[in-house]
Amino acid sequence: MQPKERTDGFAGQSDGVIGSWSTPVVIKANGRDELIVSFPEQVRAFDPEDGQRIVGDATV
Amino acid sequence: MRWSATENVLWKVPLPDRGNSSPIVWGDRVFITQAIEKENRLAVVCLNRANGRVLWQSGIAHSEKAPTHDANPYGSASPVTDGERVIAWFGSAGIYCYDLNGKELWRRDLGKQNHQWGYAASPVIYGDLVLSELRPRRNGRS
Repeated sequence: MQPKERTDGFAGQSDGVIGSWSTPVVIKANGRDELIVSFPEQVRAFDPEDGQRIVGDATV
Repeated sequence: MRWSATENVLWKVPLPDRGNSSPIVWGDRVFITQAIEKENRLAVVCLNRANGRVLWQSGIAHSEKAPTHDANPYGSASPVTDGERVIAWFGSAGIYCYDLNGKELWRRDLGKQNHQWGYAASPVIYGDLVLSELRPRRNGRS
């Protein structure tokens, strides 16, 4: 089975914040899957299906 | 249980080069990414979990130099597998998918990675999708 090709990606979803070298992780939370991505001084959650950001940052 | 270079080690095999990626295990196989600098090669190495014997090595020739930290050789992203395919991100050289026997299934250019410390984040498989954090880039924008 060929994976579904996606070109829209997460472009523009990070408001220009600098990324990290950390591997993202998908968790189950709030009754859904959330893609957790670390950035300097904050962690953000995205919908893994469409890359849309889930609001509510956990700023360190 | 005590572990050292010689105590309670079932097997030990040399790798072609240094590296920062983690080995992953699926069934009776171990997969690890390697940047083999003297061959200008980026590769996935598959070993037999029982004895460490190398079953196959698949990859690409890539001689284009990209900035990275001295302690972060290319190929720092660990591979990921769903038991049917193994996916490895080789930075500016792109992301590659192999079957469990090392045959390339697809590849994709994700653009140049350009940061003075290189890259390291491993791809993630989510259902039919592969997710990869491509930042950081030099200007901090994606």
